[in-house]
Amino acid sequence: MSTSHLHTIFVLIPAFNEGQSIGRVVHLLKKEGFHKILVVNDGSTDNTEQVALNSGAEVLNHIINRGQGAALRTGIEYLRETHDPDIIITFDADGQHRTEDIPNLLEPILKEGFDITLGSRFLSEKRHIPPMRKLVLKIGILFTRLISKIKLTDTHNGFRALGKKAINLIQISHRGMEHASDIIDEIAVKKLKYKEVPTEIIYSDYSMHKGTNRNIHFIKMGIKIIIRKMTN
Amino acid sequence: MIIKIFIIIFIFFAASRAVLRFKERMLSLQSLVFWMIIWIGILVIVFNPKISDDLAHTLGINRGTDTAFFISIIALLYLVFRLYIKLDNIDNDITKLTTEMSKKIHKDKLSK
Repeated sequence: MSTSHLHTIFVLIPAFNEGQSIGRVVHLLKKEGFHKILVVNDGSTDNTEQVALNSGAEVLNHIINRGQGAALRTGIEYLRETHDPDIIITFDADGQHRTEDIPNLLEPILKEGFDITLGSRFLSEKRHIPPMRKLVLKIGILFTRLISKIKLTDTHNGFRALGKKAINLIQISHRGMEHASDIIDEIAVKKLKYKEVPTEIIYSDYSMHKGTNRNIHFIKMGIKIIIRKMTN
Repeated sequence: MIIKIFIIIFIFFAASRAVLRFKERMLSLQSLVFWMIIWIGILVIVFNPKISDDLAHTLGINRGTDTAFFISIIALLYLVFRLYIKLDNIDNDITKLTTEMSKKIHKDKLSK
């Protein structure tokens, strides 16, 4: 990690009604040495924007809620146009990701020449994944394997690091949670060099409450991806 | 017989709407042709129901009304699919607008 300070590294956090957790997440990132933090407030109706600003993050606002994929697209496009970053780390706003895992994501890009690294909770030794979540994720993995033909152990982990090539080439077209499949598709189509890295997910009551809704999203997501594949 | 009159009135109303929408440039020529084929086809069957029986025999279905029923379901599915695509396109446009507005507002704020 000795060379990371020589690079422009941004942490991009899409956030929707995360007023309760965003302040702590930004604080932890800063404590870990990451000061370039961009929060894309995705039409929140709570105080997410104010809390993120008070924590010292740069904040972009969507005037209406468009979903995590759209927020990431806004953030990546904005950073690409204005800051020319070397690496963008995508990080969840609900406190599920551990800042201590960031160096593991950066290392393959900085030292081994990978274009993108993807966090995987299934590679982590400390994995405490709730059974229902595990089942849904495994179905997602199988589904992505069939559609994108890329073998990954965790396809819907929002913890990633994008190197320069990935930042410039990856186009996110789905606005919702389906963006995770978009990124995997783009890795395959643009022939990006990728690596999965073990990362731990913290399943708190707060994140699990949000995650319950996500299980329903997974079904909708599958239908949307199939229809998009049929029509494009 | 009354049902025929209702169907004919409805078809004329729907076809006129399609023409008006086309004149207002709210409907493409391709869509206008599609709708005209649908409405004229129904009109022909209303005036000459025997055609549906002939069509049914050709397709291997016993009754003309069954054929009309099957074709209606297929047509409805197709329309729902078209609507889905249209809605998806509009949805994408709204997302693009949201992204562009968000970036512009932020850049303007920074430049002040």
